[in-house]
Amino acid sequence: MKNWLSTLKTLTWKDLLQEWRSKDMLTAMLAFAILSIFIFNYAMELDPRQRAELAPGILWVVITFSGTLGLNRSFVAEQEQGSFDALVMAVPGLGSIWLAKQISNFMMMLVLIVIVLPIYSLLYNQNLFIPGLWLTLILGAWSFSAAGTLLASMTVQTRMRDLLLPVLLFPLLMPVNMAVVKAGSGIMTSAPVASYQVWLAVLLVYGIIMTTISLLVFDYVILE
Amino acid sequence: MLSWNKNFTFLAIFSGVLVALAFALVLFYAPVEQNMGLVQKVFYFHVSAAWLGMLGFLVAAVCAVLYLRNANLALDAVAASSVEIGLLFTAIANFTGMIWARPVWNTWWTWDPRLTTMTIMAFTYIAYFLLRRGIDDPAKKARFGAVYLIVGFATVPLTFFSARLLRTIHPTIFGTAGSGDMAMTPTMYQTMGFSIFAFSVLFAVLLISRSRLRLSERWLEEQEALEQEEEFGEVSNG
Amino acid sequence: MQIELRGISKSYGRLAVLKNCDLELESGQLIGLLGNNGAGKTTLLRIISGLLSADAGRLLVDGEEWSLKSPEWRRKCALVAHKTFLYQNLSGLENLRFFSELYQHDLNEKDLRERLDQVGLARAADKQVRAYSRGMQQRLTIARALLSEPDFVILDEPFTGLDKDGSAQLVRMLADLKQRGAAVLMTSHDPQTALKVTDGFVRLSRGVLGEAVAVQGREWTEIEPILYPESTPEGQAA
Repeated sequence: MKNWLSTLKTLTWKDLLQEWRSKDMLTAMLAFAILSIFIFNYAMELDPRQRAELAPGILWVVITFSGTLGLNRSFVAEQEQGSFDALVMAVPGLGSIWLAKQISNFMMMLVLIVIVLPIYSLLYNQNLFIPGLWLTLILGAWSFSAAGTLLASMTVQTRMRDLLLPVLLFPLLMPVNMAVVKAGSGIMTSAPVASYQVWLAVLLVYGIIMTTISLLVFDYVILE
Repeated sequence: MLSWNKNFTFLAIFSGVLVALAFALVLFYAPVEQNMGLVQKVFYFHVSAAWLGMLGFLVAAVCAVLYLRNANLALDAVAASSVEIGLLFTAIANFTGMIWARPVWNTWWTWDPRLTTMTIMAFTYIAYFLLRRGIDDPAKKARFGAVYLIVGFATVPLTFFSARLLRTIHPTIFGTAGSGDMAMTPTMYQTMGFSIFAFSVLFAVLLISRSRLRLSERWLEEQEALEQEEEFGEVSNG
Repeated sequence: MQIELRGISKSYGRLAVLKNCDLELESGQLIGLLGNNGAGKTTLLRIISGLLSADAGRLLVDGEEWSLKSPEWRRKCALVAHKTFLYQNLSGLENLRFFSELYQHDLNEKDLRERLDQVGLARAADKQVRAYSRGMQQRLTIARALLSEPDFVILDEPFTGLDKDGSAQLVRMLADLKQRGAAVLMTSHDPQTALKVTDGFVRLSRGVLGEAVAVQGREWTEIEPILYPESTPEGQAA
């Protein structure tokens, strides 16, 4: 068990370092996210009350679309240099390869959220520094990233790569989308917690299910 | 398995008879529903088609799990065929649903949880085929397809639950119109049950037939590869 | 250590790529694997290193049966193939450190730099791998492969893209590997380059692995006719 954890630490550190150096994922995500926020302003002229309610939805759309762009790049290094093989040969518990990627992708999503929320807040004159909202987005990001990392590990090996990930990912994310938006609006409109706490439970359950399944099936993705 | 089978012919004819009988029952045996009139009869086929949509996914998911355990490509052929048939019937279900909904609720679409879930499943089916298209190696195609089916299947319960939750919080404008609102008499239940049974047999026939077609196609591809090897002494990508 | 592979077979559908291949290797031996493109060499190497599942076949290490798919076996092997397995945005030193940690060898920085020095990369140790030339990347790949102190080293056309100096260095490294007790299996289109350090050759032709031919100090001109009987006048007459 100690070995598994130390392998996980090594792999995660490598993923984070690799991304920090190349900034591939971050640039793709941030460029798209910031542009989208601008575009939404022109697409929707809203009064302040509506804005509060719709903010989580708009934010989540921006985050998921940008996140997909980022996820696409997460396995590129392994694919191009054939490192999958090297990792398979070195690492006994293959699930740790997935988990390391998941953790690193999740952290990229967090960076995205930390940057996007203040910008949105500024441009739309909307206070978004509400803990409940952040919790919702963080739970959503974990689930998003869990599903996305597993699927990206497959799509990177196909012909259509970047185009395929959103097509595969979005149908599976419906519960997460609904939950984030519902819980988020509840929080933003200061509705009673009882009215939206079930959605947070949905997020939690989804995250657990997706993480568990990914750890179980990842061997089949990476071994021939 | 690939050659034509007498028993299968019998089964195919039997399924045809069953479906014809189901049609007859729907048209003549089942009563005309008092609230909605004649159009309500679409409902029997709508439910049967929806059932097949779900059955398709279920069979495919089971085959997917089995495939990951022992990599028998015949299982993959069945899985893919099952998804294909499921997709077809999901489309039929949606279409018949719309035919029914328009006169009854004066709308083409509702965010009814079952409809939403089935539509999302349809997107998953389509994604499954696109994934397969992007991979050339048959073993990898089968493996990744299986993984996606399993993951997709695992999200269906949550999707349905969420869609239903969404609905109860924001009730639809058209009141409580739903299948539970129809006054179902025993003859209607009988017709419904028979219809589902008949379509299930049809599903089995279509599944066997389509799977065999897939396996035959693969057999032909292998044949070409074998001949190439004979001629050039090379397999691709040694 | 004695490594025996018995009855390795792999088919894609009806296309048999490897038919009942047997191979034996001992520590300190280098065996050259010959064969045309598409003969199945890479497939065989991937099966041996545990990356690909064979349809049939056994592995015996010192007489004891091991599973080719076991993580323990994979860790004993090191594979050097066309792709470099390196992370472009990390430096040479960081790449080595990463793999060293994965293999739980935990070499400190001094040791890692020494390893880099052994392959002539001491000065480039802190530069990102994307700045390395092809030859430098090749050397780093080999240094990486040797980190785990593997018992079995498998090289797939390692001389590709190397200039004369690079080739000479690689030959020296192979000799060094043998001396340290590793068993080495290598494919190459140019058997003469490493002839000095090769102990024997086997040829893969249409999925069948022929008998091993020992080098025993002979020249390639003597060995070639034994391996390729069809290229001799007598062979062609036959």
